[in-house]
Amino acid sequence: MMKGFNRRLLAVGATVIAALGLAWPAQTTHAADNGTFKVGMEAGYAPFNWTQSTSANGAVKIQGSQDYANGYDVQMAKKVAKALGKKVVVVKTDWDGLAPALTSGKIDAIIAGMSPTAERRKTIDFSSTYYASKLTVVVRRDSKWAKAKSINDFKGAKITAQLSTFHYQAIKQMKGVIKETAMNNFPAMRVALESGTIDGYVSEVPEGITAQDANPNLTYLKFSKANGFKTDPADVDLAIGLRKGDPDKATINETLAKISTAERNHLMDEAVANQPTTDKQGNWLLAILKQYGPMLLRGTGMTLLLALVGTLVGFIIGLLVGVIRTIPRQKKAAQRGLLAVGNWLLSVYIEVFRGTPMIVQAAVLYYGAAQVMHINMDKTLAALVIVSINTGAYIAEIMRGGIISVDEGQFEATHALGMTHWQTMTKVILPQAIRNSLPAVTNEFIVNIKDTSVLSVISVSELFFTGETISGQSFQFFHTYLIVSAIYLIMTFTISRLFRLIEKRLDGPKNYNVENNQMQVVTPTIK
Amino acid sequence: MTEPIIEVRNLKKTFGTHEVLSDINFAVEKGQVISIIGRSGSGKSTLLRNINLLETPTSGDILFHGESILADKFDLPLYRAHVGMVFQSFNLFNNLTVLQNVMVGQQTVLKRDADSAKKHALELLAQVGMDPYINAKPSQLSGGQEQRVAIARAEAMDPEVLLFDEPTSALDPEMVDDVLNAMTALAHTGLTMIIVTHEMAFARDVSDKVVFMNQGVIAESGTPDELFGHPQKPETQEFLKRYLNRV
Ligand SMILES: Nc1ncnc2c1ncn2[C@@H]1O[C@H](COP(=O)(O)OP(=O)(O)OP(=O)(O)O)[C@@H](O)[C@H]1O
Ligand SMILES: [Mg+2]
Repeated sequence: MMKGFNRRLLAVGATVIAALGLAWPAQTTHAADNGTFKVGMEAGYAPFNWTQSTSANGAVKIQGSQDYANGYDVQMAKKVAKALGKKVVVVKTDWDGLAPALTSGKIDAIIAGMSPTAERRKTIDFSSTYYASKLTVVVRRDSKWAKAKSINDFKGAKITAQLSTFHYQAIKQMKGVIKETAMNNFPAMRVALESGTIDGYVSEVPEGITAQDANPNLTYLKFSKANGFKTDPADVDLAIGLRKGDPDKATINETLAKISTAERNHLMDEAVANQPTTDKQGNWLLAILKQYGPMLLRGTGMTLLLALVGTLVGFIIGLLVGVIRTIPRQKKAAQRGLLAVGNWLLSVYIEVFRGTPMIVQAAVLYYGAAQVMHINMDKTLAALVIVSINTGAYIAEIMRGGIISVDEGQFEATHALGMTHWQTMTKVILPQAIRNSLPAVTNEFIVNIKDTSVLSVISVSELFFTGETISGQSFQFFHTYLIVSAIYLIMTFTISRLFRLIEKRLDGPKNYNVENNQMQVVTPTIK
Repeated sequence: MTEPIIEVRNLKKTFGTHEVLSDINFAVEKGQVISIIGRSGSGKSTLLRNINLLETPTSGDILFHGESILADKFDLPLYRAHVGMVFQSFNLFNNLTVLQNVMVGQQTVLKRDADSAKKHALELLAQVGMDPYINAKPSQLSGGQEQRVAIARAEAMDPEVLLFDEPTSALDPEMVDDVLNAMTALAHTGLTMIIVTHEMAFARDVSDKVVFMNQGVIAESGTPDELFGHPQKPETQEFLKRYLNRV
């Protein structure tokens, strides 16, 4: 409804995902039919779906997580699953990953506040409507506009709406209003409304209910069909996304037909009442930390895990590639040929992984493998694999530079002693190459901490995705991302300091002692 | 006549079109100390580097105890362990301490255990007077100290032959003697040595045989007395005249 597919700047990722969808439209996979109904949603789009830490109010556990999902969509999913005789499983999925997750069989349905646009119908099918939203105007309860019966009763009122939404377009339908500049989010509009900067804003009914609940000075208006906004069903109707040709579609539509409008409104009222609210009074930092601290901690942990494992494994890959690529010319023709092929393959690996965005690699591996090769990979595993391979490609080049920068004389001296290439590398060259490239490796680590945020495309709940969830349901965008930035900064700063220490350790003491009794000296180990 | 340890036959080496070694033939017998002298660019280093295969000969052959070192089945690492090399620029391993530098080859190539490698290293370091510096890193030493460690490192492999490529050329004059003394002591142990040097007095005093190289060929060779006392070829005479003050 309120958002397009390319809500974030994920154009590349979305393109590849779309390409995958178009290239193999017929080969859609069905999620394992073991009595579960896997539903994809962001779990961060209140009141339709959100994440909470307890099972209160009939929440459903999120797959592979300690958190629960709840909201209008979750309650709807439970009803549908019951009709199908299955158990609901909520798969927390990033918005841009919903369609590919469906076509690749990672989930069975999208119930995520999604509207059945023509664009989306190209790749997936939709059920009938499960919630019909309406446009409303939110006003101050004590203002004269609170008595408006029609959208044309607002002559002279200052009206706005959210940026880049059809809500803002709809202001055109209100005769004689003063159209103010669009605003970024609802909290900002609520503040503007209360302070009198604006007289009202156009939004959908769920936001109207939410605003009224959050602030008793505000209310939203109900218009009769004739006096209300004219809207495109593709904008306001929400439907369940299904794979094309899903045999359950008929059953699902029958079930939805049996849920009356009154019942739907009741479900929505309940969702609004139950949605998590962040205490606006007092310290916002403490409020967010108190409510979302454990979630932020888990997100931070996932980011650290991805960056740490990715950098470590990438480092080992990089070292091995570096060693192979510096093997001297072999005497035997067969070995020479093998080495040439190996080197060529390694160059291809490095060029491909350095030359494509990680977000695309992740989408191809996770969704592509599921769709084309029917390999259903765990998303955390997929994320670890991608970060490692990607980092390996970069570190391989860093290491090649580090190895080349070691003085030629060091190689000659090892050869003169009769060391093999492997001994040369492990005892003499790599320790120096690693020391020389440590600042660049530190950089890779820091880049990984930040860039693993693109892995939210395969719905890995790392820090950035967690931030999205929290801001999506608390509406405290600025404050949430401020905290998230601070966490990123603490992590990257700590890591750069830590590596400085490691560099110092590797360099050893600045001075040495002149030894007078050598046999007392501990036998050194050569690493 | 005893069988030579190393025999160089019709050795030719070209870099691109530049022929650096034309037709080198010579043999090294056990216990011999051979000095190679000659002008800069005459191919002395290239000859040594071919002998332990840091460069691949263009044609000709090099025999070690009668066996071609260029053969496919030849065990190159083992050969290199038997033929040590001391470089003009020392080439100590920068990541290792003095003691580790002298131990690492023994442990990795000769598979000696750490304790016996250490014992051997300490003896050799004591012989070159570097035992007080075992915990130093190469970057913390002077050139003369580094070169003495490099000599101990090469010796530690118990080589049959040691190759020296201008071991004192990169040193300040006051350090040259320390290194030359260490080498003289080595020569007296009966080790086979091939030494490229510009130190004529040293070459005359310690060598059994002196080889004069000129433009990629061995122009003249003989005992120190023959070569320094009665050089036959005009180019040898001219070369020695320049170094006369030093002899
Ligand atoms: N890798 C190489 N590629 C091309 N030419 C080379 C190479 N190595 C040496 N040469 C050339 O071969 C010739 C002989 O060099 P070499 O180092 O053997 O001389 P040298 O007798 O050791 O001289 P010096 O007394 O200055 O050390 C020189 O002209 C040099 O430029
Ligand atoms: Mg030279």
